[in-house]
Amino acid sequence: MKNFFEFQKLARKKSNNVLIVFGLMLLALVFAFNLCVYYGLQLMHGSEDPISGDFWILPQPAFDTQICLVGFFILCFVLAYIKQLMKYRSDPMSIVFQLGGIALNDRGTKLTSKEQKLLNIVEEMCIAAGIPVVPVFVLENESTINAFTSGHNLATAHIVTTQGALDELTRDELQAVIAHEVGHIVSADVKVNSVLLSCIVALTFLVTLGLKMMEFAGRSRGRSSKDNSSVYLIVIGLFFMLIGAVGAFLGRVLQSLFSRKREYLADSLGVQFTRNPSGLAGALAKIRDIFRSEIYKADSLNIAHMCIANPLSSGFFSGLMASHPPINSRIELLDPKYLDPSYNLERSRTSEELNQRIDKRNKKGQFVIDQTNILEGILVQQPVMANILAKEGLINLDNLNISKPLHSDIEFKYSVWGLLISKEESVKKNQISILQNLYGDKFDSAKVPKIDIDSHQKLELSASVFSIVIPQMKKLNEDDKKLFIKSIKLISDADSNLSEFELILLASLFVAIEVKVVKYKINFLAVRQILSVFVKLSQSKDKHFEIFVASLKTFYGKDIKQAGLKLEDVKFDDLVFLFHGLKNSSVELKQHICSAVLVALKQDQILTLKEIEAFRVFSMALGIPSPPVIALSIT
Amino acid sequence: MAFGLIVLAIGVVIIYYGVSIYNKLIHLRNYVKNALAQIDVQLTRRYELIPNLVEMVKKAMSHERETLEAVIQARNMAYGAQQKVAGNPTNTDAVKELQLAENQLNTQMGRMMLLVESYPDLKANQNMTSLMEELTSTENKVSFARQAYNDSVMNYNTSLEVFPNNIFSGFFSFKAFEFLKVESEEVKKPLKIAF
Repeated sequence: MKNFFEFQKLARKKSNNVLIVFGLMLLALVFAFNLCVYYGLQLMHGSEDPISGDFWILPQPAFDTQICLVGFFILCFVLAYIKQLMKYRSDPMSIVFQLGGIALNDRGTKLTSKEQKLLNIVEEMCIAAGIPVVPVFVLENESTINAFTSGHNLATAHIVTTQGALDELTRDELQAVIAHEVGHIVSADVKVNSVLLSCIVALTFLVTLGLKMMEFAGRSRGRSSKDNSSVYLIVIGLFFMLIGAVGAFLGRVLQSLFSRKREYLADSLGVQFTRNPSGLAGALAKIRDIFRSEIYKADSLNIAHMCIANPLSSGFFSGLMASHPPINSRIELLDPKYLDPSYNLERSRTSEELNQRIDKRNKKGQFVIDQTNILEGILVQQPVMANILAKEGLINLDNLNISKPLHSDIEFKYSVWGLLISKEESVKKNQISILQNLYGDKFDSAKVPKIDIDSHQKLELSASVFSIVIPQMKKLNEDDKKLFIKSIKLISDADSNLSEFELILLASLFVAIEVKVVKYKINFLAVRQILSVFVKLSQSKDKHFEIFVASLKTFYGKDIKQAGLKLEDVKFDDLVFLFHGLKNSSVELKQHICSAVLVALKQDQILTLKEIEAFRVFSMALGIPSPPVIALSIT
Repeated sequence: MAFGLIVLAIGVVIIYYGVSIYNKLIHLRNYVKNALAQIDVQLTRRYELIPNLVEMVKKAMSHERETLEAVIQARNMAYGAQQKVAGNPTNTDAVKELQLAENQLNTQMGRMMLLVESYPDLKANQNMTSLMEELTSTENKVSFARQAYNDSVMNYNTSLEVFPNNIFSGFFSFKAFEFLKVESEEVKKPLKIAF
């Protein structure tokens, strides 16, 4: 096993090799130009008048053009580089402010404990790296985990993290993330990167120049058709374009390669500063498993190469052009035990919190439906009490002011928010301000419908409303959808009393509308977690464990060891993740899960409307919708 | 003539090379000195924080007076030792004394923190948590500063010893620095677990 100093050496060497290749590529382009012009001229002159001079020493006009090409390239490069420098010099923080970052030191003494912790960590890491303390900014609206550095040199450098990184990472993990960023600062990655970017810009200018030359030649050719020089100009223009385009493309690929190698360097520098490789491995595993790392607008601002993990959603060229190496290969170098996805999920459980929520919610009233009725309904498909009540809920929508906006493509959002916004004044205020932050002027708080019904009725109403809005949400464009999902997530996070039912409902809603491929194998832990959530919906608290065992038995089709078995606690984000994984799994597995969930719901001989609705939205999210009353065969 | 030019060129290259090595070594040596100063800064900050913590804890744990007094006493000892070292950094006896005092302080602090664990009200206190975070962070900073010192010493010593730098460093009489080591006897002892 190598230590981090050796890894640093290796990463430095590799990234320097990329730089050498980049330089060689530029030389090769000039050589290619030589080649093109030489053969081009020979073709043009034909065989009767072979041009003098040999391959290396071009005839005068061609040599002049070559000088022009190199001169133009260098000019463009210098200009582009100066522009980059000016960007950092004039306002080094502009990128941060464009993203909505807030400086931590600006707030004086009013720092939350998390922010205080972040400041301390940044100081610690700067001490470990032996550099002056750099300013810190937080992107308060980003709930994903990411961080980046910006600024051209040590004096203008600063670190930016997302709010998600503050909220979700442990102290060690946050420390590792900051150490990685400090690693970027110490190895002066911004500087090298702006040199590379300037080269690419200069190459793209070559394309434009070539294009202009051809246009010009084409126009002058129209006037005097026998002019030989315009043909020459067209050919040269074509070469310029070709070389510029090929160069810019290769340049992009090499720049990405360089960025990937530098990521490894920053990782190993981070380990040098913290002397704790599992911190960074844990943070990366969290990004991989539960939280994503996308930053809104990151693409247009060119900050991708400075982040801890890729801030862009993946696309077609992502492998070749990715600014970051695959997360798993980084984790493997840091701490291989985080490669197993269940390792991290196991660690991120919080038990007491959920239990408290259950206690609070379970005391509310419920409809109790007779077991025999339900069975009849299932067998003969006749409406039973549950159907009627569910329909009644839908009809009642007319009496509330939420039904009208439901059918508008834009205003249906207000209905959903109306349902999620709490009755408690303080929470409500908080939630409204979150929406105002997200949507700005577009949000009109007067439009949010007031819903004065019992909270348990509200829950059932939510299920109906959500099933109506799913098709409408699918119509939204990608950015709107993301923003809306985020708004839902943030305001439901603000209300700390989410019940199991709401968890299932919201998670299902997210999974139903978000098209995302999560490659996650459903393992034993995942099954236990999913079933636990449904078991906890049941009223008879004392029988929870018994129900849990019965449903697990249904899933595995055999007796299971009960020693050490207990109900799992699941966080909301984990649940969304699990549902995503389930959605992408095989039909057989879905069927097994569904029948196990059914057992979990009806084992205690009481089936509440809540349970029925929860199952309905759950199956809808998995892409195998069940009718309003459960119609799968029960054995 | 040509020969003279070549000799001159080689001479210029050697001088340039020598100057750059000399400058690099000076740079690295200052870096080491700065890292050493940083440890002092963080130690001082820690000594300043401890009385605040004790003041806060005092109200809740009035009948644990002995422990608190021991902490304050250890802190004062360590502070005094540090002042002595600051006045005369090359005095190895003073450094050793500081190390002993630091060990004593760490033991006392650990004892107090164990006691704090048994006062849930105190632990939940907002001011207490932020003070604890400060203290944790400062303790981290002390160890990170030591680590940075050792890293910079490693860099400096390495560039001192590699060829051809060793010729120049010998010529200008640069000296290697010592690494900071854990001197505590307690840490070195094998761990005993009693059942």
